[in-house]
Amino acid sequence: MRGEPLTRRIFLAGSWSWLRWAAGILLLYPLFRFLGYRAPKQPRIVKVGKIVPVGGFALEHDFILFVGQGGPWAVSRKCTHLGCRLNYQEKEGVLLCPCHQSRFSREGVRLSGPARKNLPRFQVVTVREAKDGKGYLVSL
Amino acid sequence: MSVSKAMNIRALIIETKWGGLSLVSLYLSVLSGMVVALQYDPSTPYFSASSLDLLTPFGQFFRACHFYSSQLFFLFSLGHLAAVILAKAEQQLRFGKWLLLLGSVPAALLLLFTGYVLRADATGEAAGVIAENILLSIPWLGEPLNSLLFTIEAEGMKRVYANHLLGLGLVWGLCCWEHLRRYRVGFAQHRLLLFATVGISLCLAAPMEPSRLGLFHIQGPWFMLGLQELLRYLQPFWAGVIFPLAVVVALVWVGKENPLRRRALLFVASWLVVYFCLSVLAVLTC
Repeated sequence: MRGEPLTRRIFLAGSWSWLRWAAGILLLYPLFRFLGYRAPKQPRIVKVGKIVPVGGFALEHDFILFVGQGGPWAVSRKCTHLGCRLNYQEKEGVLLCPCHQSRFSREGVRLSGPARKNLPRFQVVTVREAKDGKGYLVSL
Repeated sequence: MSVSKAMNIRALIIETKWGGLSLVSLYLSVLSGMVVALQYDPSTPYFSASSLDLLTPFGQFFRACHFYSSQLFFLFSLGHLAAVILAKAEQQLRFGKWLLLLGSVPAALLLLFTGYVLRADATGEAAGVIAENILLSIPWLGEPLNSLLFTIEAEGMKRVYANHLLGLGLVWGLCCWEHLRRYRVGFAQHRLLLFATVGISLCLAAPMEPSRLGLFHIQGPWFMLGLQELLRYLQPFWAGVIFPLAVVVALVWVGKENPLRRRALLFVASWLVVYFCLSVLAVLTC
């Protein structure tokens, strides 16, 4: 209380109160460490089960696969601005973000909009002879 | 507008029973939400939400009822806040209590927002990842906050669902507990609102936008349109954190005495005008 002299009792009571607050805050540390832990995920291999003609593309959930003269390549469909799923505007040959209109080339290079980074590219292996058919294996 | 007309509008806002309307809408939202939750599966969110509309008997009605009552709950809560400020009723509260009650506004907004995310259609999916990335743009606090609220990228809808169902409701309840203990509102006092909400839910399905090839523009939830537009011009931290936080801080200062209160109100009003203009721009540029 204001004006009251600081006695040992008041000091101890005050310290006990601060100690409880500190203990409460300290308990948040294990909570956030627990919540923040991410179990490592296995690399995912996705199969595109068809042969795409040169100049064509295949739109998958997480990536878009293009096939050019030099072979196939895949770019992520996750916008590097805020993570929205990109769609391919075939007429203009660009990947467009539906949320904030960032634009990327087929190669994943940023062209315009609020995104600042290029799109990640994924490794693609062409499967020509396999039991479960031809296609492409994309490592995400 | 003449002075008497403005006074009439002011009186109408103050006299409307916003709190009661909001609470009854919340009752309906919780009840319909409990029904919807019995069929909803967060591991397959879009399939689950669209199945409710397409396959489950009366699923479309219950989802619509949950959607519209939740929207009304939020709108009436804002009306209640406006009426309180117009009547200067917050001046009768202790500052700490005003702070606690204000905490219920972001909690209610997040409840509404997580509802959008959980349906996991094109809008919900985009809203979820945007929110996650905005949180991650906060230095130091971003990661733990995201772990607590969203973590959609790593965990799917698990944490969003837990927060929508329990966590955020609990926060809202804690913020309003003292306030609500003093007021009792029954369904019978707001029959018209109940009939109107149920009637609308029977006729109009809740929105659902499937993700499809050639979807080149997604419009966020109505209360996020201004933010969506701002994110096109500013960095996520400024547009998504500092800008919304500014109005919350200003609302906190409304609880102080003049001249602080007057300045804070002026800021809130200007903020609302800017946000409204950004929302209109977002609609026009789609």
